Amino acid sequence: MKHKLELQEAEVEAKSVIEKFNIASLPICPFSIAKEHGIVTEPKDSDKPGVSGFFIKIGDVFGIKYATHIKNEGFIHFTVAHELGHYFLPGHFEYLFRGRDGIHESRSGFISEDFYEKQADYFAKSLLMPEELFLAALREAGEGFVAVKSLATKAL
Amino acid sequence: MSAIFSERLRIARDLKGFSQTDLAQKTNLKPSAISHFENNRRSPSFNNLKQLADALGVTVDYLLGRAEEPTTVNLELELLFRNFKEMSGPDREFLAKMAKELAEKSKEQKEKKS
Repeated sequence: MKHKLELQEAEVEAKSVIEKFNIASLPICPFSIAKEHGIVTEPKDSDKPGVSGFFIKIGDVFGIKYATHIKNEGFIHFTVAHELGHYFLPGHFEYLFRGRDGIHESRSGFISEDFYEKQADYFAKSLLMPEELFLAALREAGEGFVAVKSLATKAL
Repeated sequence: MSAIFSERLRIARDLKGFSQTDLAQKTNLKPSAISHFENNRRSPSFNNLKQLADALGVTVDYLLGRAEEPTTVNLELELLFRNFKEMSGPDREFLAKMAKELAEKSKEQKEKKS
């Protein structure tokens, strides 16, 4: 796998955030984590599709703006967790400010080849579905679609 | 990696009279992490930058070399809109509103540090 070490790094950073919050069970709320770090989160007041999330830095203040045109809590949580990845992952400031100062945007439905984006996606996955907690839930979830529904309920 | 960050971090720590261990304790980072940052062997995260800036009484922008004075922030909002054309009209409007709010908050934080 390309960038295997960097993806592991994303998992380690997500785990570190979870441990610092003393989170011992699902669900994990990215909004609470953002709030604890003074990161402002705001929904886009628009139903139009397009940019799914922004990570913004102005001075020493950081913000996340997320789209709500897809009415799915999981999608919204993943968007916010992805943007948190840009805040918690080492070296992302160099990427975010490369050539375009102060703002980063992500577009839904587009699988980015950029490794920073993949690393932020991996961070989001690891933050919202940490292996240890998710596997424990998986073992209790049963089988088939009932299991999928059960896990979705537990993770949100 | 950012050479200016390494240099600024070391200068700010020296001015504060902190050892690497002192700074590590104040930021909940490992002393080895501080050493890696100062020797340009590891890049920080924004979270690390915020922790370091708060402990040293400087701004993130100073540590990143985006502001010349230790307590100065970079509020040049026009640079936020380089991708303006890719956004929808409402996106631009709401982003501008949020940018304004964050700039106000950043000014308040700066006043506390000054």
